[in-house]
Amino acid sequence: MQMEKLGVPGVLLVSSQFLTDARSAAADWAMPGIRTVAIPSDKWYRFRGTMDEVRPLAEAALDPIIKALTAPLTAQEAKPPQQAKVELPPIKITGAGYADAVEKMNELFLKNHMGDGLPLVPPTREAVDAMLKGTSRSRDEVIGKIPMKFGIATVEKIAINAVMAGAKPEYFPVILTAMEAFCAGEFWHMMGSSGSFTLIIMVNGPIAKEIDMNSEIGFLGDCWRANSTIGRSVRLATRNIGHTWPAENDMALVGRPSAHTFFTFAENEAMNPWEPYHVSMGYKKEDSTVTVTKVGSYFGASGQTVGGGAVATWTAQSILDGMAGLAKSKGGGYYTWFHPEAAQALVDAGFTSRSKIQEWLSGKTGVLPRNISVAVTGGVPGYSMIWGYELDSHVTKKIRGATLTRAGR
Amino acid sequence: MNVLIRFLPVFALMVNLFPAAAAQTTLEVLNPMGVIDPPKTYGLSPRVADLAGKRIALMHNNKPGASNLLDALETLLKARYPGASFSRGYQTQPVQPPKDPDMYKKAAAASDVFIFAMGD
Repeated sequence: MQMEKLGVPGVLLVSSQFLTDARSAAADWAMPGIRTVAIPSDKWYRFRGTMDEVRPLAEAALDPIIKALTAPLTAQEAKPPQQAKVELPPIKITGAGYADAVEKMNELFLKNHMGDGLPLVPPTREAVDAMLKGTSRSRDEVIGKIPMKFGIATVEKIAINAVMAGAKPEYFPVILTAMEAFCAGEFWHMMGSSGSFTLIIMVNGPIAKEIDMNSEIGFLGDCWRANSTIGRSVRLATRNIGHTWPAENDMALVGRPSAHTFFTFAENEAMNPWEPYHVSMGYKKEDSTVTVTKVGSYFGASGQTVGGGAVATWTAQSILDGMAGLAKSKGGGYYTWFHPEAAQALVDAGFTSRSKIQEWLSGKTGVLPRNISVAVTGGVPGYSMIWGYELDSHVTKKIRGATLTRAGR
Repeated sequence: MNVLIRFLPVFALMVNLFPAAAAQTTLEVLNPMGVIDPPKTYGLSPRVADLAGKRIALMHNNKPGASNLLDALETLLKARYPGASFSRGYQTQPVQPPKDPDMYKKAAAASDVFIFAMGD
């Protein structure tokens, strides 16, 4: 599109499975008419390995490519109509009783690519107003724009999605802050990449205990309403406000780990021998924060355990060595999670502060100390883990505007 | 009155056989999707009449396979348009803008048309 804007005509070659995504992206980036030639996906991925193998596909594409470069433009291609801003009024659904109406709403929402496949709580005006009571912030405040289509995330839009997710109003300031962090970082890639990237949402400070977030055994799992619905609210808000849908403009091929709720938990500050993570980031202990991080899927950049558990034995040094062995990339950052016993063992071994961990790992790997984040997660027993992240997709924000909790005000 | 009492069971049976229509419920729900502020749209650049003698930029997004496809296309295009010239080396990073911020300007200045292959 940059080339077309600079006056050079061109054509985009794309695998047929990505054609909808490519056209959608072209419209998002203001050039809806871009000419494309699709290469059949059922052959492309098998035969792209060598020039000889891919040659039949090139032969089949040659004439369409020449035509795309030489056939005169239609009037619409030369001057596409300016798209109008579309307002999204409330939706009325009638059913034979409440349960039937809710079922019809769920069917209608999924048919129109709103939702996540699990049942949704109806976002009535009353329910959304109740959600908004959890914050003192204006319903019209704009938090940011959400990829892929850059929908505008207002406080009210986020509240609508939080209602659908089943969140309680006292969780809402945490959800809002997670969305602020998302908008402040670079999360466009996570929303549509074929690599199936996902989010970690870590909550710090006193609000975590007030809203009963799990930070111990099973902290990445289910059964805690706050963990589950805060994460689901962010999942729904990003998908719905950003207008994304699998196989259309969200090309996560295997689907994200923890697809419905992301990885949402609180740092285990009670069993943490060091200062809490947010304090290490310059916040006060009494502040509450949310840290949002893009991490990998089932591939190399995903989280890996480096010791702990209830079976194999470990030492503090073996855990550090394991992390050093996995932290290969110098360009990004590493999120190191120590289970509580490991953190205590490290203190006993002389690592009396987080900065000593950072310095040691930096010395072994060459990653800058400030790009090594150290958190204490899980219960006893637990596992230590390490995750890779990109520096502009690891963002911490302070919670503010809470009205129903003592913390986060 | 007697008539009413006599026929009451019949009325009751009729009510059971023909119950009143179930009460309908209407939900009014708010739309969870984000309003989009559409960007200014751009048209395409005018096409060339023919590729003969043209400078053709072969670009890709640095993902496996894209370069192989362009190699094959270059061979085929050379055979059909012997006077055309080809430039390579203009490529983005897989998920980020090109390392050289002026790459597109340089490519545009050196090309009459471009073919961009996505390796995904």
